[in-house]
Amino acid sequence: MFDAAAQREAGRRLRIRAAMEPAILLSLCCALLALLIEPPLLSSAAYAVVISPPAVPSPAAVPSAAASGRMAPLRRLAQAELPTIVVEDSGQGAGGGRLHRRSMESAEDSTGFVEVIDTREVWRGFETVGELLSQSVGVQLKSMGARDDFATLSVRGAPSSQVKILLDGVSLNRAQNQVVNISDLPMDAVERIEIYRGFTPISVTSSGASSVVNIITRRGGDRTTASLSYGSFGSAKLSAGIDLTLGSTTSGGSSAGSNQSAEADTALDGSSGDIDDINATSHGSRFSAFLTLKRSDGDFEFVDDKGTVTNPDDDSVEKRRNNKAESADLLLRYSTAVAGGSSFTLSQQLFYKDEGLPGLGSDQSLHAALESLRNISSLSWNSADKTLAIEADATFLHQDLSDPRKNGPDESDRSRLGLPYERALNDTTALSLSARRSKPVGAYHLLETGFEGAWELFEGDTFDSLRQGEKWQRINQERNSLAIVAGDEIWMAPWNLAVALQLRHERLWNRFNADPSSPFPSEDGSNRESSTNPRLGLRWEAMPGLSLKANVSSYFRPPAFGELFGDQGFSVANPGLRSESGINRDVGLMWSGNSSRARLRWDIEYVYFNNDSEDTIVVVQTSSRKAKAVNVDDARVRGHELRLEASSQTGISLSANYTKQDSFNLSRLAGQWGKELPGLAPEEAHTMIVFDRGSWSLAYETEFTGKHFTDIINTPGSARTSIDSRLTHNISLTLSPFDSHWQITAEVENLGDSLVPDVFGFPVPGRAWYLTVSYALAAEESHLTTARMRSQGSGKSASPAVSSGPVLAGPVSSNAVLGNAALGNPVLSDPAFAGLAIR
Amino acid sequence: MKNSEACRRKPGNTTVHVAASRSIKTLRPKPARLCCSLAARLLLLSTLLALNAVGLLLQPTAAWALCGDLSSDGFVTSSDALAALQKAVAGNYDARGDIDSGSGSDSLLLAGDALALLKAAVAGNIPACAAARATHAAVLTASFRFDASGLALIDFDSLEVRFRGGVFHRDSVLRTQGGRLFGVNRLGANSIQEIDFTSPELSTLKECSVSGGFGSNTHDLLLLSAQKGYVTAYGGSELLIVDPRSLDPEVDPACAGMVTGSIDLSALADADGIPEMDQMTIAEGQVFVSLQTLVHSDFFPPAGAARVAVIDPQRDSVAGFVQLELENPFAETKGLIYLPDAGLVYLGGPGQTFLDFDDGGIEAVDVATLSSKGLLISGAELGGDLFDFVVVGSRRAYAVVAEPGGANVLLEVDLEAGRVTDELIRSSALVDIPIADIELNEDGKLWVAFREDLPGSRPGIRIFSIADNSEITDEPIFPGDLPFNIVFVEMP
Repeated sequence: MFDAAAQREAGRRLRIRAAMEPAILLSLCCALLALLIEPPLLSSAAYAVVISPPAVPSPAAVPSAAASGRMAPLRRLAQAELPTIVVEDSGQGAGGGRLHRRSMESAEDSTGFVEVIDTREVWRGFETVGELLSQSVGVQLKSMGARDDFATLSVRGAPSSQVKILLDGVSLNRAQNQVVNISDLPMDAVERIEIYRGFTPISVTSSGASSVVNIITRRGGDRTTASLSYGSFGSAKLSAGIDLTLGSTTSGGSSAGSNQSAEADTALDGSSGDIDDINATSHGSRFSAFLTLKRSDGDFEFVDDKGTVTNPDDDSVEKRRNNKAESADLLLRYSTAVAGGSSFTLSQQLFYKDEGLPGLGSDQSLHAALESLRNISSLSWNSADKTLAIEADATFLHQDLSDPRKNGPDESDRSRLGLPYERALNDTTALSLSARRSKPVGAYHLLETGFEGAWELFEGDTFDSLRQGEKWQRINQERNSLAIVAGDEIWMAPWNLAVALQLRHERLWNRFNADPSSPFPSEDGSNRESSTNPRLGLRWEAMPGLSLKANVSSYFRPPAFGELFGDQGFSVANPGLRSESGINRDVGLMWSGNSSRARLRWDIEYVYFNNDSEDTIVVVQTSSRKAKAVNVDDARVRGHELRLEASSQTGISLSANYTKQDSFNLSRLAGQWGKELPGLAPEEAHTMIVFDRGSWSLAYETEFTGKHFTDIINTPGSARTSIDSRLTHNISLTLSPFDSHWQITAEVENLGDSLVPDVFGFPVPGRAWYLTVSYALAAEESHLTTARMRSQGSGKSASPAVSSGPVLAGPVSSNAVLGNAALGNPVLSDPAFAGLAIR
Repeated sequence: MKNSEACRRKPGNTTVHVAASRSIKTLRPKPARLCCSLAARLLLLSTLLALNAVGLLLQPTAAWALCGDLSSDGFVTSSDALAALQKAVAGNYDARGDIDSGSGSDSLLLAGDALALLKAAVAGNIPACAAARATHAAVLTASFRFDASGLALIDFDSLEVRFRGGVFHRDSVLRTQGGRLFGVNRLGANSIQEIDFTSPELSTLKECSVSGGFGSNTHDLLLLSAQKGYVTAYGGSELLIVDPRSLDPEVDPACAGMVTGSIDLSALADADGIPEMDQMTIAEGQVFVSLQTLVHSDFFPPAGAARVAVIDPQRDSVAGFVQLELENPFAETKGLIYLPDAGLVYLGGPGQTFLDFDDGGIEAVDVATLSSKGLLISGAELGGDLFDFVVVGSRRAYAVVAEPGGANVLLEVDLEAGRVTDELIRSSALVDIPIADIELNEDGKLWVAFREDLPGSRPGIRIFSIADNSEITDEPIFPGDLPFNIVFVEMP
């Protein structure tokens, strides 16, 4: 096996080289060409071709922009040089002009396919991060039942372990188990979510294997907010937040102090365009606090098949038991500017959750429970010109998994989850230090480099009450990692072409210390791994509003501790395990258009992607009670993504996407070749239409997940090996009954009462309702849900978000602005399109 | 219902064999064959009706035996031919000596049979018995990641495969009793699923829950009569009493009457109160239940030497237990092995899994004295951890052993001498369960579920002749997915 595997590995490297080398050579040629022709492009005339008429930058502005820029040329142009979009109130009283909340552009990357969700534009009061993400194109939420239950993300068919989840730039993927429970992320404290499909942006030094999701918490805006929600299954939520500006600021002219920081901070947390971090020229401080308390009984009704899938006659409707969840999340952030214009930010994110683990639908476990505690501390420093940022993070995770034995007279009281221990305590401690530097070269190059060193320790203990609580096994696993990334983004104006090059090198050192007292002592071991992965991205502005993009990159996903060194009893070590690897490719187009006559604006995106993965790590049984992780499978996922974001001045907006993906199991194992990957729906679609009339809004949402197999050999016609397609409808009504500060949202989830189980076969709740009352008081009287998009009347300054560039301007992509502005597209200055104006 | 089907399905005609544990899956004893003749059927029916009135049929008929091996020592020798001749002269019938001359069974043991047997013994062959009735192998398949479980039916003669995927729960094993085929769906399902293996679709006749809670983990089914059976719950302490009539598709659709009671085995458990009851057999009117007595919350290390519970099926109570020398009698032999001629019940297992390769082995329990005969062969003598075995006779067995180095090996074992006599298969690497199951039919064909599914490997069913331990199959028969469990059935 291993000889063959070595040959495969060699073949893989050859294929990667074959695929990447021409692209790298081509891009290097482009870069060289760009360098040679750069001087003429520095003329304002040439530059003006790109930018104006409406906003021709002065020649002086060019070096200024270059100097300021952490953004690559195109990004910098979009953020710093382009006219800022200001959204004005239509003055019609209705919500006309409200823009959709999902953008196709990110300030972090101009060539990759991105979705940025402005989570403050909430239409539902009781939505989760996972639910919001599942509405994105190419993203599949794999949940185990109700909204508070364990859930992971898959992007473009990649395993959940290949999706890097960041919280304010700090990785949540841990070396012990690289899968992140997305239901442990509090929605209310989140301000923005960036989804990078099929690549890792250069702002994230340590790579995600397949895709990256960066969740950015609330950045203030001098707001005081509070909301209270209640709904089905004993669900309740209380959240409150406050943002304070302490001391004075010298720029921006606003006590909010955040308005001018849009271009300021794309710091190491990867959060582009943060609006409240201290501006380089400000000298004040800012403090933010946000608290969310949440609970749910999770006692929904479901159809219990008694484990007899083939016998529907014994099915009965039962209540979910032991599914209670209570959580608390506290976010604290303090930012201050120091002399010279640099700034420090200290943040603290504390999360606690206590939940029952009922297991599968039939024969629920009545006593298993999981207690989780997560603390992330972060200290960052940004230089005054924002070209250098340093950040130190400390993460601590604690999990207490209990599966108590009950020896009561009632046999059912012995119901257990089936874990081979009674209690397990897992602690992870992680420290990381990172630095990032951007260096403009002329006006059309932006060189960026990043460094990250990290240390991570996992300690696990298991207990058994029959041994008087004696710790009988302790494992101790450690990983040191080093990542370096360098990239260049080149804007070749004559051809309206942007080229992004990246090269990332990562090294890992793993060490495992076994406990000799363990009944299953694993061997001490160590493992080291390194990988170098290039990326090439292209973007061609074919015509105003129309962009073509193409990307190719390779990736690796190092084995988790459990895969390398074994688990506590079942899984034996395999220190020779290789990293998963693969190549992601995509090509697509974005079209931003508008119709002044129809008062309509839209963004359309189409992408074709083709991802090859090799050496997928699979845990296989080596005997009846032993398992071992091995490299076995290869796979290919290719598909099409189609997105539409549209809004009109009449207050109607539409968000729709459709993903069609075909997966091919390329495993040489018996019966698997050519089969679909299990658990991967070949079709997914999501639509949302919103009628916004200012004092009220109505949102209707549908979500479709296609039928898919749950087994690796795609057994047809068996209820045991497939999950039926699932179509759900949600509707919500939002009222502002008193004034813009108050808002009441009533929503019904799963209107059609679909009871098709989730992707793993866990029962899901049927129809549910939720009611949310929220209050928001902003410094500039901005409403909680409309602050971003409906700023004050004309003549007033825009809301901070709107002035912050393409990301926060939502659908007004930088590209669209670039094209429209460059060609003097009248739409943007059309009075009929009253919601938009050029500053 | 046709008579032949009645013979297979209806309680009165089958329960004699149902109780025969090991015999059920292989050799149909002669009386069952007689049901096809009117006189024999009447005789049998009257007997069965009388027994049915009691509700139980506790006396098993002859257990599985190798064709021609009248001495039940695991070998076909000239002394077996002599024994056959003696029985022929005395007018005693023994199915093991009724050699197939090509015209089927004549239900007689004649001198010609003894002669044919002698020829086979001299030639070193295993003869084919006329009374042998298994015609097909039912193979439960489990995918590489154990995320799907299917069923394949393989014709003995043509080796043609009929396969249907997704039939069973992902963690399942097969049982065949009384000519019926059952899937025992284990952890997470806890159900008994009867399969109509005569149907082209291998359709499910009915599935009934036998759950005692999430952790009950159904492990074995033993039918005692048409009205009664036992089901072991590996994660519980109650041996469940079931009424198999609930498996009739026309009766009790919701299976409300499937579980009728339970027998508390917690007194025989280790400190955690869970005895880890596993497999069963019936011998001399008593039901034997293996108790692994593992520490339930400690990744299942043995709490000490295992036990065998002895159940009085008439009273549904614990009649006693046998203390074993062996720890963790884990080997999945699809029911405990009982050899009536030897009067022994055989158990085997690895002991401390992968921690001590010298412990474990094969142990025998004397049914008459309810005492252990001790280890017949130990893990040290086997060279590793034992995970499956078949007993050919009192002197001979085949065993699947995981070696310390990682390979799985299929070994021929001399139970009398306590040593390995031959090695049939050695897996190339320990990255899967390379040899998931072995099963031996009465014609001396050893079927092996070979799961090694790696580049360069050919997973599937491999068949060996135990006459010379040579492989009969040129290449493995792929049953549709990776094979995991094998039983033999008779196609009516």
